[in-house]
Amino acid sequence: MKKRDRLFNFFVALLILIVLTSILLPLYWTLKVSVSPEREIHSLPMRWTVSALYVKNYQEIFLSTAKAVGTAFTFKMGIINSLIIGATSTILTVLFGSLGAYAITRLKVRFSQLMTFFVLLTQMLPPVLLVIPLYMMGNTLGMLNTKRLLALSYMALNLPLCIWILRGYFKTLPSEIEDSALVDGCGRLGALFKIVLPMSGPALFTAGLFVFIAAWNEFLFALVFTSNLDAKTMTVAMAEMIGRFRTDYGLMATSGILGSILPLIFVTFFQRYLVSGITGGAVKQ
Amino acid sequence: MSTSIPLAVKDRRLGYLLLAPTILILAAVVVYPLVYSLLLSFHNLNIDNPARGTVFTGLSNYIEVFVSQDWWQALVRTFYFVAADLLIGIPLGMGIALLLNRDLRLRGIVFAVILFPYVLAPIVNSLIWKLIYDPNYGLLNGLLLRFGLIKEYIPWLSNPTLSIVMLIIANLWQGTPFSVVLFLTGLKSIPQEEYEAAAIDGASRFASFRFITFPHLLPIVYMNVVMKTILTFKLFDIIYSLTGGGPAGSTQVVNMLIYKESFEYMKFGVAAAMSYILLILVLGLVVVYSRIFREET
Amino acid sequence: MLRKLGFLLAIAFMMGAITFPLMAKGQAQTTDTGGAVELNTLEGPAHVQFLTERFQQLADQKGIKVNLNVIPYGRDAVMKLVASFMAGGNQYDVFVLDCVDVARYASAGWLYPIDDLVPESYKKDIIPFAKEGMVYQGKWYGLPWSSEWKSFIYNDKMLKDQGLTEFPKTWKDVVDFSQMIQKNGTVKYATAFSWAQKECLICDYVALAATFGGTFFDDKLNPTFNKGGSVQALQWMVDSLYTTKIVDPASLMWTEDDVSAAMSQGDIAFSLSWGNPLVPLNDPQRSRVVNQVEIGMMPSVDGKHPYTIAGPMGWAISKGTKHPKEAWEFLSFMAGPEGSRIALEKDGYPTGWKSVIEDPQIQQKFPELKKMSLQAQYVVNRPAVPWYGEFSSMLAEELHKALTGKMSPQAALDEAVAKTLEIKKAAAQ
Repeated sequence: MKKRDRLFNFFVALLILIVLTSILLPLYWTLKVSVSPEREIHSLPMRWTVSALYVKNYQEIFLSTAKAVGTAFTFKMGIINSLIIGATSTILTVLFGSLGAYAITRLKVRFSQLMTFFVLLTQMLPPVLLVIPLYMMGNTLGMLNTKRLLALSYMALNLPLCIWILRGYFKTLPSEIEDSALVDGCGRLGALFKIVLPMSGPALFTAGLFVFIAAWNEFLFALVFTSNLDAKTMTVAMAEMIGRFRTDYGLMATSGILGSILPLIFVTFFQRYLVSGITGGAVKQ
Repeated sequence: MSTSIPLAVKDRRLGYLLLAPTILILAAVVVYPLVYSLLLSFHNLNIDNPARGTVFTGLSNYIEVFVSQDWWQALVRTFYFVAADLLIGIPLGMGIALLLNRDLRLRGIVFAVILFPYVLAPIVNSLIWKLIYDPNYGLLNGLLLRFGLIKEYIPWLSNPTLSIVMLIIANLWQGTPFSVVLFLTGLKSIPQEEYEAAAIDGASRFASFRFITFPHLLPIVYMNVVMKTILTFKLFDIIYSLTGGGPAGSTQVVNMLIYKESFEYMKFGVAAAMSYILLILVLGLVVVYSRIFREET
Repeated sequence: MLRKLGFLLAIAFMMGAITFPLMAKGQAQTTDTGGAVELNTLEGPAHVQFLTERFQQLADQKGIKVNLNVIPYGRDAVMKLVASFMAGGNQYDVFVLDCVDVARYASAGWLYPIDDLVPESYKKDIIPFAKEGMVYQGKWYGLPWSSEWKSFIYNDKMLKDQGLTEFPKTWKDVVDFSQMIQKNGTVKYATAFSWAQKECLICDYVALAATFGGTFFDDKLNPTFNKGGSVQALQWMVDSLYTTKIVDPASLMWTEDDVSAAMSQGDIAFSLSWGNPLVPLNDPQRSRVVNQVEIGMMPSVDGKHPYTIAGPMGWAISKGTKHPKEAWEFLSFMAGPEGSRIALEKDGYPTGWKSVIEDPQIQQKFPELKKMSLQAQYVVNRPAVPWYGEFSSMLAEELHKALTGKMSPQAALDEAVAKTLEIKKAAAQ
């Protein structure tokens, strides 16, 4: 290996380290707070470590049962609800989004500009504005405090953006591959499922990640539409840890860590699709 | 754009069918709130004076917004946030993506760490940053003091000029990872042959970036620009939690104003008007972006 | 082609069919279960156990079932309430109301007037400052539930270490004592306040203004805080940050719980605190200053105006309720003098009834109540106007302009008064 290459690689490794550190520092801080007894969270001067690992926060969450109706148990149920709502919204949104994006990109349905407009409508209008009419709608339909209502709302609000992301990606795919499949008698739909989607790993990952996190971390609708454990989500459960005059920083940090683990597991599992892409050589230029 | 094989009639019909689920869901969920809020912007609900009832007020809500000094100041501040996010966040995202665009060992773990800020719940994110910025107990002052960079604790969020900067940093921390992911998707779709051809021709690393990578990434840059503009204009959580719009109103962005108008002042009509003005503004920006990047809207 | 399409639709349909039942476990708001009347309410997570017990007792005694929806505490809860009001007001029958919201909700017609239901004995028994929180334009809308004020607390050990035997009675004393304690190196700043640009700032300011003999609004509800003591109070606040330097500058971003944290860490010597602050401060799990803190009286400019801010909260009934009779039964059960007594004994809720506070048994059980009720005679409330939201938001920003040195206190308050008059005028149109 040439010396210049070695230097370059070293430089790159250093930069990666710096990047990781700047992300890691607040992460470490969050972890530290989650295992600190309350007395040590606000300590002067700042401590880098804890005197002893205070695992009560984690215990509270993992071991809580329905009997002790406290915030820890609510958090556990909240994660389950958030998972159901998040998974459903994501799967359906990405599915319908792919169909729609394909229609716009390849099938010349003239929805492109309208779609951009809808992206803005659904993303820009503040939730505080939409929450009251949606609440009234939900109330009339008897859907308040259901997971359905939340999942539907998230799908509706994120479909246009999902289509927009996927469309942007589909456009960059060379159409020759599809052409050869069509010539082979595949049909448009088959082309979508057999050719385009498998090549779209990165876009599907990106869109899926965005929609999932949008649903997972959403707060306002979840707060206003849900009242009890039937549908209460993780974010609302977390908000309950903010007391009237006392915020339980430790429990909050713990819930933050636990709440991030699930999405991060998904990320670790699905990230190989991010890295897949057009395999070189599939198309003979 | 479309394939070289011409579309049959049934294919066009298929297209509409494929869009049907989307249209259905949008129609069911979104249309009513949109119509409601649009109508709201032309009315005064007179919440405090129910005897007067809901009154049609035409454009007066909009006019009220346009003459409001608070609104324009909030808008300028929001632009400041957006500009910082675009000018710093996008190069940062691209740079990090370039760094990560190689065969990494433990790639899964690296991605998980990179995405942690994005995945963390906004409530926790705000509280952690509140702790980090705390003058007495916080990470930032502790760190800077330890390395001798400052002599006295700095009250980061008590200073009007500084607090915007600190909020921008916190926002960048949470927003850049997604940018990185977007760029990575773009980088992965660049055909390897182009690099190989360039290497054969003896091109330098920088040259291959400039003539191969960057042009391919332009659509992704466009995506980033649009998404970041939208997301930063929507910014609310972290500002509400950390400064509540202070100190002395120096971090009050438009979304905070909209929130106050609706749930604190109960002036939903004005809040609706603000939202639609904002919408049109961002729409205009997106149109400008699409012209610059020569993408279709 | 059509086959493929059919296949696709079938898959989508199946997926929907599989996933939707997973989500179908949610229930819409329950209405009458034809038999026992059910009331719905919402409250924060802090007192769930006590509330559940009481609700069970109510069910046993009167056959009224109460469903408790646990929600996050804070202004977030307001959004749920407002959304439910806009949708008809029958989602929640009873709820706890903060004094600053009563004027607005009552004007909006969202509250069920209970004026005719409240017996005369209650009307005579209620402590005046608690009444101010429940009454709007002379009509009753709620029964007092948590009638608190901000106490002045001080770290007795730190004072004694300086040879000081009594807590400071004047603001000058506060400055002198603080500088003494700071000089010694015990603490960096002797005190901190909750002066973030939020409602907590208004609370502190109103209290401080009263201790300087200033007024806030006159009885015609015109703003008067740009004169006299009210200006001096703001000047004192500014000085304490920049001149006498006894207040931690972080106060400008702190809310009440940050101040409590600092107090329980032993990093400050004086602070203002809602409710009964000694409970968390004497808990060894949370505090480093166990048994070091005492409750005093608010300092004032001359030692004779020890006024503090009150924040009475009470149970109220939604106008849209389908069961007003049962709702009233609920109110008097929970928050009438007898219910309030139980709440105080079992869960520490500060009471709003004279008969409870003067009860010798209670006084024996809670000796610190005596000290605290001394303070309770000197409380002020924030103005009960429907436009309080806009006003508070605007005033917080103006106060901050003075506190960050952007404007002089007089100028900031003059501006605030002008804006207040505009808000008032706009509201009357």
